[in-house]
Amino acid sequence: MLLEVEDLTVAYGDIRALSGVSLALAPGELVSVLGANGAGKTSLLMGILGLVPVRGGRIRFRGADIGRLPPWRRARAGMRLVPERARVFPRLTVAENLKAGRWGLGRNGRAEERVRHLLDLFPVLRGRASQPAATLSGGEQQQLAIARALVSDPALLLVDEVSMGLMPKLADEVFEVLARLNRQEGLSILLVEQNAAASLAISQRAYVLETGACVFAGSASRLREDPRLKAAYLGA
Amino acid sequence: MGGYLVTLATLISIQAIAACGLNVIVGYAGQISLGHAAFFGIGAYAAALLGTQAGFSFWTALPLAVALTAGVGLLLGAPSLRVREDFLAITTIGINFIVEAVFNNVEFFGGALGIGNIPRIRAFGGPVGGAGMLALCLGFLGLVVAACAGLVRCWAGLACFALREEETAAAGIGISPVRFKLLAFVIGSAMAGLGGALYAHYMRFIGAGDFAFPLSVSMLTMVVVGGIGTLWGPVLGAALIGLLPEVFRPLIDYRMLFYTTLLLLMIRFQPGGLLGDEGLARRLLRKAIPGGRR
Ligand SMILES: Nc1ncnc2c1ncn2[C@@H]1O[C@H](COP(=O)(O)OP(=O)(O)OP(=O)(O)O)[C@@H](O)[C@H]1O
Ligand SMILES: [Mg+2]
Repeated sequence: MLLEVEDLTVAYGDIRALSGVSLALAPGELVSVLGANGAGKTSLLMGILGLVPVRGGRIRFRGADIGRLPPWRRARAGMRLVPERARVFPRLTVAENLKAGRWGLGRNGRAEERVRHLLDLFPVLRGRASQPAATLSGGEQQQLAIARALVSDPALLLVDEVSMGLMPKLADEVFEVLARLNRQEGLSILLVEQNAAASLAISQRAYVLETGACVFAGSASRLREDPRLKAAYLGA
Repeated sequence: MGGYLVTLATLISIQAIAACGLNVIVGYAGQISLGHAAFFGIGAYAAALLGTQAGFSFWTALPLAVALTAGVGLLLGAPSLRVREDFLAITTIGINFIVEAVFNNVEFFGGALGIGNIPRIRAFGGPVGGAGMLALCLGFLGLVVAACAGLVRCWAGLACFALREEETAAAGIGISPVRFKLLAFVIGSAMAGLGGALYAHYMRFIGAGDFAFPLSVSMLTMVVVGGIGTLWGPVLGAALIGLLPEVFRPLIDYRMLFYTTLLLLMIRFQPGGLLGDEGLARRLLRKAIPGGRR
């Protein structure tokens, strides 16, 4: 397993956001995490990186226990976060945002090659190198956030609601890029989403969270067929 | 240039050196510091003691004073930078008061009498006089600005900016918040130490009161007025803050009130400072040099 999360509990003071959630992700897998607003999806991703207060549980990444490492070391171990609402560095230019993402890749020429490759994947970023990231549209910022996370060529991408605020066509395009990265480059992706239909379409497996607990774990196709879950999460 | 102007310009360049250091901490890394005068003082006292007690020349004392200030910055910064931002303001004020108290009360630091008879800087076989001292301070200011320009372009600078903008996102892509905030703090402290060492050798007499909290406020005002996070902002700010009380003599008694009011007005109307993106000076520059950047 690339990532193994066992019994993860996250609490903000007295507010428990996640109670004992377990999850696993094999190398090369694309796995969705679905759930309503406030279900604990963001807390799960941030908990895996150690960016929110974890109260219990174990996190193994590439076979090593990373539960005690500071967030940036966990990221350096080979996972990168695409945060909710993109969180690009607004006053830095697009080029600087991408450069900041190459942390951990070293100074070799591979970074330039990666950036070129990413500009092919996200053509809207091309020609914007010297533009402050704040001047990009919301959708462009989301794409920049993904590109920034990919510069360092991570093994695992943690993606938090990347379709938020994107028009459906653009959301489809972004999902298509993620699916392609997963299929062609073997990038493992943990995809937190509200857009269940689109994310299940590209996922192999899925988890469903409800008020901080996992209520479904199984293949994406089974989830698509499950009438109860269909009613709740696919709006059918 | 008359002697008075030379004196004023020298003091302004010394303060500009320290303000550039504060800008690295506040402007580049986004960490509020209200105790910068403490590090200016540590540099000054270190240089003064090395010059008077140990008999070191300025040129030997300078690197030691700068290194010592940087070291104290490291020691005090490491725990301070882990606290939340609003606590950091309080913590740094505390550092300023404690350092001042130590200078004021510990015999080793001259106590209430301060340290006098600090030797003049010597260069080319003679003491450095008024104009020479100004040139020396401007030279060091040039080096400091060049160092800031280099920092902005290098990896560490980018990491600091990223942390300032979005700390969570930065950590999520592998940038260590503590490490780079601390680096900025140490670099900023070192620059304050450099300014302090020059100050001690220029004044030739220093006392704890020279490095009290009001100086920290006025240094922060320099940075904010000139343009927080910009390259030349702290220099412009130091010049304006240094000149204004000279121009408006009656203001001298109301210095603190003046700085605080100015600080609040700037934050309200020109948050980016005069050299900031939307700042007055920047807009005038843009008009004067169309198409120019930074
Ligand atoms: N910093 C915080 N302080 C206090 N409570 C928080 C904090 N962050 C999240 N919570 C609470 O934890 C619970 C889970 O929040 P979380 O952000 O993980 O949900 P989510 O599934 O990502 O929701 P959404 O789909 O709206 O993004 C919510 O009840 C939320 O109010
Ligand atoms: Mg969320």
